[in-house]
Amino acid sequence: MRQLKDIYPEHADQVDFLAVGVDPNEGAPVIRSYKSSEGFSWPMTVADRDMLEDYRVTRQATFATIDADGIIASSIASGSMSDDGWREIFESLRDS
Amino acid sequence: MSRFAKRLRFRALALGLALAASFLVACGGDDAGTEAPTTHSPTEGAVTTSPATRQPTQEAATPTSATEQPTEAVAPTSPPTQPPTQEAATAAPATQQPTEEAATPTPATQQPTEEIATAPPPTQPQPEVGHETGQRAPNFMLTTSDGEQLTLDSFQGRPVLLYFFTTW
Repeated sequence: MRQLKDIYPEHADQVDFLAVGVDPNEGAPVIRSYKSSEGFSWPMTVADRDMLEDYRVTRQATFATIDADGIIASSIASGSMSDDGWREIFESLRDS
Repeated sequence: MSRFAKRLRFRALALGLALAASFLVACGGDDAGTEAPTTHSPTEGAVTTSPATRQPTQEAATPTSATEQPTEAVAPTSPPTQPPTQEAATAAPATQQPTEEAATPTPATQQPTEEIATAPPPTQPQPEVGHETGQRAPNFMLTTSDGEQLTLDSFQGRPVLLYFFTTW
């Protein structure tokens, strides 16, 4: 996620970004401390069980994209990719 | 002179007188009523024939009247031509009636448009909620580390990237 600190601001005016913690043991205080220490600009939260089941999230460092109409643009996938790969993700999501 | 010669001379004078009298009668007798009709009769016959010659003229006049009759007969044909025009005039409303009927269907065609206008807009089939691409994203309600409530509707109108992470 640190990788996105420099990439996301390039698309922040057109695409929203929400970081969702998947470890139920990491509550709001942990997340808030982590955000502060890393200097993330996007909102961060902790997922509940329903959300993890609805989006079929079984691993960390994964992502899903939703277009402006609320339709799944890309289902859950691994977030291990290059900077250009992320840029393409943002651009395609912006044009969707 | 002898008595016999005197008789011959008398008879000759008498015959001469008789011939002279007949000659005079024949030449100067216009006032005589007996012979006049015989002399005028041909002229009267000509007069009588003149009407006979005029009769053809009258007959010719009547044929002219007969020829005028055809013209009058043509005139009656012209009135029959007018009734068709009147019929055409009466038929004109009949032709206008379809136009009126055509005008009346237009409201009938407007009715469907009104029905369409009053009918609810056809709703596109909404995709099912799911996690696959093309499905409607499941809604969620989360609280951010800053205490802000977020739902999927909070990002309505803007695309969003959900990134799932751990701090370790």
